[in-house]
Amino acid sequence: MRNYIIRRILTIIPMFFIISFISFVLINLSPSDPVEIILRANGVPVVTEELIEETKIELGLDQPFLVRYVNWLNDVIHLDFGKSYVTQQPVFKMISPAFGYTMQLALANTVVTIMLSIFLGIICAQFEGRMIDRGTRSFLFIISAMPAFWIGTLAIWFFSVKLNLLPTSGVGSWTNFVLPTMVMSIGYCGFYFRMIRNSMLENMNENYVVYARSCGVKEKVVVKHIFRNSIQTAVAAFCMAIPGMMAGTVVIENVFAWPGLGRLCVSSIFNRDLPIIQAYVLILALSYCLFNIFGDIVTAVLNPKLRKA
Amino acid sequence: MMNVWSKIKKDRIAVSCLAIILMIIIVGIFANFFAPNDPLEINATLKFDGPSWEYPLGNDQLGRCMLSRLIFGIRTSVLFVLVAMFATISIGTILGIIAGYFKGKVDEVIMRVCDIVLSFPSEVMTLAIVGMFGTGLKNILLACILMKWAWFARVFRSAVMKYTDKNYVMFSKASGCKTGHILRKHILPAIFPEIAVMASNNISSQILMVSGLSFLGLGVQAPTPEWGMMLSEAKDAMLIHPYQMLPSGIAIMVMAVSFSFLGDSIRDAMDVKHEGYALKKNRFKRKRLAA
Amino acid sequence: MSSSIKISNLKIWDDRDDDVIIKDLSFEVKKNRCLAIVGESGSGKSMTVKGITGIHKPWIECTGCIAFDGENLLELGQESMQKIRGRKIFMIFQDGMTAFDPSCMIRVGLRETLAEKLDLKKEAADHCMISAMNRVMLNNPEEILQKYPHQLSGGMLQRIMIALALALEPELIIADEPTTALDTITQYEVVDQFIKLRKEIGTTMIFISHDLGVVRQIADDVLVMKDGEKVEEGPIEEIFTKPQHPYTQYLVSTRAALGTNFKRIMEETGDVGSEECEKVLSTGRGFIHEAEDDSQGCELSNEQGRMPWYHWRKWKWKIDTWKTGSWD
Ligand SMILES: Nc1ncnc2c1ncn2[C@@H]1O[C@H](COP(=O)(O)OP(=O)(O)OP(=O)(O)O)[C@@H](O)[C@H]1O
Ligand SMILES: [Mg+2]
Repeated sequence: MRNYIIRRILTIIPMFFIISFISFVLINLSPSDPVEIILRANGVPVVTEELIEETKIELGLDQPFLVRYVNWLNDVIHLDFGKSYVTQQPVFKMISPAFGYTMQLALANTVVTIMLSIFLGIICAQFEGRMIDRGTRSFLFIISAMPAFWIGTLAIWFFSVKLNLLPTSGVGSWTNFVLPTMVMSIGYCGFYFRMIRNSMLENMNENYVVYARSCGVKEKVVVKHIFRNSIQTAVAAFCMAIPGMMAGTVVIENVFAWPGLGRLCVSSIFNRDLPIIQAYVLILALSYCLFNIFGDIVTAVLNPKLRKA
Repeated sequence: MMNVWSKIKKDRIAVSCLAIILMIIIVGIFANFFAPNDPLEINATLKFDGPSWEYPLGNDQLGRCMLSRLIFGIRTSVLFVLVAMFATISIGTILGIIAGYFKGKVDEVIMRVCDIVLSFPSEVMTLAIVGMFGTGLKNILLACILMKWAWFARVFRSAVMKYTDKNYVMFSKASGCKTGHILRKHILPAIFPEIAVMASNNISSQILMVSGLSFLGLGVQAPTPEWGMMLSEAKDAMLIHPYQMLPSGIAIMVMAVSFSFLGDSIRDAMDVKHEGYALKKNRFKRKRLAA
Repeated sequence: MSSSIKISNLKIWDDRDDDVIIKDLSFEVKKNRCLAIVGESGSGKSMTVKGITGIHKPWIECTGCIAFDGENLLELGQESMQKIRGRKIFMIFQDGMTAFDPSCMIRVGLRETLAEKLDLKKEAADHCMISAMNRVMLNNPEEILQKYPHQLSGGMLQRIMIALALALEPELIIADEPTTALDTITQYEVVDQFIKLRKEIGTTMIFISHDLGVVRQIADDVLVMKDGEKVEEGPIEEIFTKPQHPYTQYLVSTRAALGTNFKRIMEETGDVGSEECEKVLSTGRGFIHEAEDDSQGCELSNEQGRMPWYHWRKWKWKIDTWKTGSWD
């Protein structure tokens, strides 16, 4: 078991190199010349050859590719993601508050999604094939096929404009969380809820459930056992929910003017602010990788068969 | 295969989804013919007008015909996604079949590449590619193909591996059939339903993603009509003209729902195990009533 | 304490397609007697007992009368059935390996059952189980309680179920093929436990088995089923010595063939006439080296310490049994 965990954690190292390399290559594949972007963003009136050469040397862009990669990697390990082309501020300084906001939203979403899908999953598994099960399933199925930005704008129109109950956008109090969380988690719920429901149904047919029933144990206790076993298969997916939400907030952040990573990234795409995009890709890919490993470890720890091995 | 098809034919939801999808595709292909007006024609006097005989769904913020924009939007929102999905499936199928059928070194290499591609979150990589190469539908679709082929390759590889062990394939091999013939006659038909399920569900999520990115302004550039972008334009006028948000939103929803229902029905038709009790019971009750 | 159970006109069908599984079945098990139900696979033996305890799938419907303890079990609601299950009617299943929640220690499920049925607190429940497990010759019961199901052998889990039955002292025990999933030696020991169980708490019992040898040892009466119907019923000696119905005759004759087969093996190995051989022929079960049994307790997954020739015989026996088709 311990070996497994250590081996799993060690896979972070090659993953980190692959991820960082790809993020670095992407920026170098970009057809737009960073020097030009910088000069133009800073309002330099006449771009001369000399000026371009100068800036190139200043940025270290004249060095060979691998040297630049190693230098950049070294900076990244020290949390230095370079300077924004547009604002000239350090990327880290711009990204960290946005990261905090995104994390808040992602965590709120994850918690709500998990609770909602567990609740609905249990109910629907209990009443398999009845009205309530089929209704919930179709409803969530349709909702998850609706574009989140559309539900979001409709929700803003209804709750904020029509009823004037909740703020339309921005951050500040807990009321700002309500709409984005509601819109996102209900969409994600469709997937997780189905997973829990199906795995509960699978477990219900297991022999140990029939045996527990035949021993005359209360139904509540039986359901507890079913749940315990079905949640094990869902844990890995739940761990992946957090990075999934972080990546999935892009559209919602833009709808609700949430000052998070997604919004920063989209505005950077418009400004061609490559270092920020690069940092965004790096951070999210890395967190996918970390949470994936975390999920694997949690699954292994929860499963007694793997635990003792 | 035949079995799956005959089951789908009996499934009313699946048939109606298929009908909707085909209808929309045809309307999209012959958009010139179906659209009542020019989707790009600006008419300042008709700003935000409600539905009328000439403009059945009303006009947008520039006075353009909503229905025509919606119909021409099918091309960008649906047809291009379908083309991209076709490319993805082709790449995935070919690589998956090569890996699964020939095994050995080739398999090893292809699967390693798949692992690397799959370890990247597809939403983030799409944003990255759009960020690096600039906005536009072409780059989004390119990103979709790059990020999705690995899924298909994986699934097909395992499907092919499963079927190459089946007796009839072994028999064909033993009786000296050509590899190409075996693939075409035996393996492709066997894994076709699986392709259909994956493709159907993927198209649905892809439509949502492409329209989402266009909504953010990263996809199709104005004035080309596209559903996601129409929504983002409508959003700006939300306070005064909330009606504007309905047509394009509903269009996206109908498309996505149809594709995911279709995928679901094919999956249900494929495995007998998950036929629900209630479903059977109802059918049985109906039978008894009819008798 | 024990009660009799009387089943009359039991009909069970699948509501989804109106497929009748049990057609008009009636039988009675008198107080303190043991009824064995035999019959080929799919004849509806399991379905009958599932109908009695009411643990069938929701789409299975039952009608008729199951008179037990002065009540018709088919008319009781889920609540009252739940009270009866475990405390009054206890079921033992075929496959011990899957009968316990794989993600919990054995202890957890047992504690829950005992808490529900006997109102015992944690320590008291453990204590109760430990003494019951000692009675079924399980070594180190304290340790076993803290193990997960996958760490124990099928025979041990089967014995834990029997121990639970001992602890609960039900009025009726239903054992659905409790020995089928076990290897021959373990079968012998589990059957032994059943015989002891009957002696100790003297309950009424319904015992389902494919193995006529086991049935002969444990049961007082036999009910032969085929395709959801009763074929023949009667005291064990009668059924075995003069079977009336052709199907029963067939069953019993297969067993006789089995015996002949076994004799042949023994002849080949030169063991004919030995004490063990006679015993096997009389009980109809595999060859057991008894001396090791008591000392070994239940460490049956540990095959070491047995005579090398033992394994060979076991396999030969299995193969022959299989050939004659008495299993399934
Ligand atoms: N859950 C179920 N739903 C519908 N029909 C069932 C179900 N379980 C069993 N049956 C049907 O009931 C019949 C009897 O099955 P049952 O399990 O009682 O046989 P059995 O005599 O116990 O066989 P075995 O010796 O293999 O255990 C079978 O023909 C089967 O088709
Ligand atoms: Mg059975």
